[in-house]
Amino acid sequence: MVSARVIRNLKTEFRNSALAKIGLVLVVGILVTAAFAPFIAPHDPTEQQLDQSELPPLGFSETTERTTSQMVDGEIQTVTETVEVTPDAAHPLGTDSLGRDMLSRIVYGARTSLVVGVLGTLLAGLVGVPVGLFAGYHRGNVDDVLMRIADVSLAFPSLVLAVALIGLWGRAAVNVPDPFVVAGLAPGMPESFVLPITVVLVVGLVNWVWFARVARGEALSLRGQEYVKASRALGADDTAIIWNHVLPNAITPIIVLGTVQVAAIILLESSLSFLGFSGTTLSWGFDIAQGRDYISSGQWWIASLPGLAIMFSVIGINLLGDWLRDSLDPGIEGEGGAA
Amino acid sequence: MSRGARAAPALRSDDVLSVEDLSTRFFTEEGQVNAVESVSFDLRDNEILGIVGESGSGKSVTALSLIDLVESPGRITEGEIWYRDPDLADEFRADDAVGVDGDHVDLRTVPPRVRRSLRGPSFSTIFQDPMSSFNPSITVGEQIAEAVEVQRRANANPRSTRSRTQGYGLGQYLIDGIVPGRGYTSDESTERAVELLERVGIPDPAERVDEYPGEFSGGMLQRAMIAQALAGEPDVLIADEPTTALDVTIQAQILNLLREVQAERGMSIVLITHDLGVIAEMCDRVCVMYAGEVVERGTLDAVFDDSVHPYTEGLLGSIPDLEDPRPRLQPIEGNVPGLIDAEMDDRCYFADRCPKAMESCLEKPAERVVDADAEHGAKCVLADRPYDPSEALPEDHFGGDAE
Amino acid sequence: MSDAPDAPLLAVEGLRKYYADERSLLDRLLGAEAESVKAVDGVSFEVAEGETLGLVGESGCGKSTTGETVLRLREATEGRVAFDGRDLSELTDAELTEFRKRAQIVFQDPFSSLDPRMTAGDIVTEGLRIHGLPRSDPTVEAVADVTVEGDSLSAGDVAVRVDDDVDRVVDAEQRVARVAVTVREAEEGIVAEIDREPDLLGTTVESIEDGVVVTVSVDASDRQIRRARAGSLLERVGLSADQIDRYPHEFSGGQRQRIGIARALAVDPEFIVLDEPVSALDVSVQAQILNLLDDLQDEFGLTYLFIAHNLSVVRHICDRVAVMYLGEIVETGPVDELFADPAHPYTRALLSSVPRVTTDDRDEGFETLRGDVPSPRNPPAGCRFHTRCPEARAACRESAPPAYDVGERRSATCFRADDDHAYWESDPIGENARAAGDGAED
Repeated sequence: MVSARVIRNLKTEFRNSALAKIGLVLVVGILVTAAFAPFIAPHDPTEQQLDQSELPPLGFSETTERTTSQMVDGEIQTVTETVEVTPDAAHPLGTDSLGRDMLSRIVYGARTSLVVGVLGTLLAGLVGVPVGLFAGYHRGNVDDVLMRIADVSLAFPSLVLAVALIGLWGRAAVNVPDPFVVAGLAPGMPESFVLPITVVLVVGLVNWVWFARVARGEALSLRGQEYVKASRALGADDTAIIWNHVLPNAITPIIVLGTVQVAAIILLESSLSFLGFSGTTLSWGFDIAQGRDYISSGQWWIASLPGLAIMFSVIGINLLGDWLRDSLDPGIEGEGGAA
Repeated sequence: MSRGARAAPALRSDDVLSVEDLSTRFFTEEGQVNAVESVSFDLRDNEILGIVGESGSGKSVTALSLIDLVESPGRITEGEIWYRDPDLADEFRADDAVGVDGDHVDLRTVPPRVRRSLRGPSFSTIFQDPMSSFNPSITVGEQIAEAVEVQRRANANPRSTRSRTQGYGLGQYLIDGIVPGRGYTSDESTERAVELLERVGIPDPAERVDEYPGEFSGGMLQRAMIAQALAGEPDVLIADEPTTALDVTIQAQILNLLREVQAERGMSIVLITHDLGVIAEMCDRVCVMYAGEVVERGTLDAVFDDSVHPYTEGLLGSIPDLEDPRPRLQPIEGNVPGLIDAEMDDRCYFADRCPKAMESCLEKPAERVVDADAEHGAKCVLADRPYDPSEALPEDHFGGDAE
Repeated sequence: MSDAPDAPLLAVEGLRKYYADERSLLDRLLGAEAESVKAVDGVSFEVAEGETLGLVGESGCGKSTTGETVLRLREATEGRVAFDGRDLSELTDAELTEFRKRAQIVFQDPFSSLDPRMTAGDIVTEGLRIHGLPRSDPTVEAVADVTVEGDSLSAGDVAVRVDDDVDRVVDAEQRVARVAVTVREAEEGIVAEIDREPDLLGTTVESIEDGVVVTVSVDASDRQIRRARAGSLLERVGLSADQIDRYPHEFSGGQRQRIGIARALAVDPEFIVLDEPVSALDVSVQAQILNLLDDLQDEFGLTYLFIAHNLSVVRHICDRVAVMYLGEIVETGPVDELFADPAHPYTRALLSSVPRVTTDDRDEGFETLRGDVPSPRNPPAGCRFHTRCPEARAACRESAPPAYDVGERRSATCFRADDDHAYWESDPIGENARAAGDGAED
């Protein structure tokens, strides 16, 4: 299905668009980070070093008021002093309130975001695309009912829906062993990765509607194409037509939607983690929630660095989506020549 | 500046329009496309000139070039478009940058502002698809009245190019949506629009003037477009496939209407079509286009009955006759060529499909005059000498990739 | 094949196809009235084997809907379509699948009729894949014509066996799939060569006591066989077999239409609905395709239902014509008679509206019909044509004319065909009335 023409278009668009290059660099960066997290992270992201807590990132120093309590003559005396906290080269992005290395947490957070984003999108697509294609191709009552359900789901705030579903199902998570660590290649790193399975299910089921709508719209316009009629005239059944003619011609907008959805689901996962509904404690959203109390007291980096990570990955994936959109479509129906 | 150094034939006083060596190219990613290649013709007073060709022959781009509406990546690269307008000629006679010859002005050299101001009062266009030529959210009457307004303003101030449309932005649109009936055309121009609608045969014009394009049928809308084109009282009407989207009974109505208004107003019409029947019914003189060139031109009788160019013959032979069903059609083999500059050899572009291709066709033929008064011309060696089978090109000369 | 020798291949009787307006579930629950569009309203015609029937009319007259309903691509609202004597609405699923092999369609738009994501080969072989073709026909016999060359071999020593399923590769003629086998001695021993499809058929040579046994069998996957078939089909329709892997956008309009024709031919149909097959093409290409359709009809004994709006094309290719107006057939007849002497005023108007490609009768103007085609949502009462008819009289408003015989195999739904009809006594209406009134004043 990926013809030489598509590849050529991808190349041309890529050459002509600086944004596509930025998007690709960002996305590849996140992919590599997530895949090779145990090698990139300098520390175990869950290891607490209380004596090294709240270190600022390199290049920043922070004055902070430290309150220490001492037993002086049998009384507890509280001394507040202003201390200069200087960054430590071992923690280039600083540490959080429990002394965990921020860089390592962001690196591992990429795993959570990406896995939830991709699995959630796949789930949403696997549910939404067949439903949408079926509804759009057959129309009639099936279509009416499915699309009203879709409308209702769209009208309902997805975060509220997600929170309600998690409330219903609980916060299940599975531990997936990290192959690098199991193989002994990255000693000292967490042995397993926590996959918040409920979150994946929830974001998938909240977002299937988008896929259903796009797939339905495509199916609606494709069902009237003469090649679909020709295929029916040849004796093909509906399933074969949807599979052979409708899906391949609808795939471009679905792929583009998929990239946008990965970004949207990363945001949704962060929101859920932020609200404490995720099953994992290694997530950008979770860290933002942890860090939010410290913003007012000067430790801005605990919340904002994961925030930046979310921002860059969402931007990167969206730019990638734009690139795919621009290069997958043009000229497929076009006629050459003038007049 | 007077006319170019090339020995061009003199302009005739009855030429409304004289096009010389017009070339329009498109600079696309695939390469340079020679959509119009050195096209010359003239349009006389009171005549219907037909331009006929298949898709990709460059006939529509020729039309767009005349009214300077070629859009990027296309550009008119060469040629002169002489338009007869004594006032305009006087205005620019002193201007060295502008080509003036008697009453004629070379439109390619006048400032874009002036060229724009000629659209409507001097040139009007009707297109193939009336549905997309009208704005669906403004009433038909208002759109015609707007053309009337443009004409009024042009009469009052010949060089003003401001159309009222330019003031029609989003704000105006919103106000119109809230305050109904707040038209931005005057009562007089609306009245004139009703007259025009009546002239083109729309029943109940006073009511229909307030309807939206979506409420008109295709044929009615094509009439409305003719009304709009007439609003500017143009000298030249360019009709680009005006009946292609219509059914045959409606087509007959529209063709009759065009003929009537042409006679009534003494306009000249450039009628662009792929339909030889329409040409035969309507036109006085014909240009046959192929691969961006005018390959044969002349009076209707000369081109249809004494065609010289094998392409013209082939076109005529391809059409099933309504009266006489011949057992087999004589189609032109092969396909219309692409017009990518790099892929075009310097030869007769039709040679690869031509049943009478000879060795001399591998050189690009110049236009040859067929008859005495230079009315009938063809870009073909057969105008000079008969076909000689001994010089025929071998069948596989152009490779076997023909259809 | 049908039992009665003279039975038409296709018989359509009282066919109606109404489209209800699209209404949502909510509207239906609220009980909103549906307005229906009467796209086809009581159409009857027959197509005999081997003939070409033209269905001609302006846009919106229901000709394409008729074509698609006849193939059961749309379900008829009412009426009967019989193909080879069988009522299509009674077909079982298996029979419908079989029918799909026998009746095919070619569409107008060379751009939307080919799936842009499939290669020419995939498009042409789609029908073969759907029907699991090529299949071996048990009634076809496989036969070898054996030639034995060489001194040491005599014909008596050679036994040739041909597998029963070689008819998947070799076209059968009169129920016999014939393969010519040449057996000769070469340096490496005895070899067998076949004349046809050497890429798809294989031979094995086995020496036994008193000679050799040569076996000819299919030595190719279904995919390879279909591909070979697609190649030969493409060549048959005037393309080249090496274009098999190209995508539709790499072809011109005329070439795409050829691919569409090859796709229909692939399943070896008897009947093809040609739905405006040349309308989107340039005249020179149009003529090529018309000639191709002519040739294919002769070669494969095809029956065509040719839907068109272009009368010259219909005149050229059809044996009989049915003229449609607003969902009804207004006139039918053999093409020569009908064109020479149209009986229905609409047919006459259609014919006179066609611009002639001659320089003889210029400047006469057209005799035109007034007005537009009325909406099929709400067709005029009585004769549907009376609102535009130059001959309309009061009687036309009151009742719809039946189909009158107006000659051999000719009929027209117009009161003027009936000399005794009350029409002749009733008053002219519309513009005729005005004209008549003016005349009276003079």
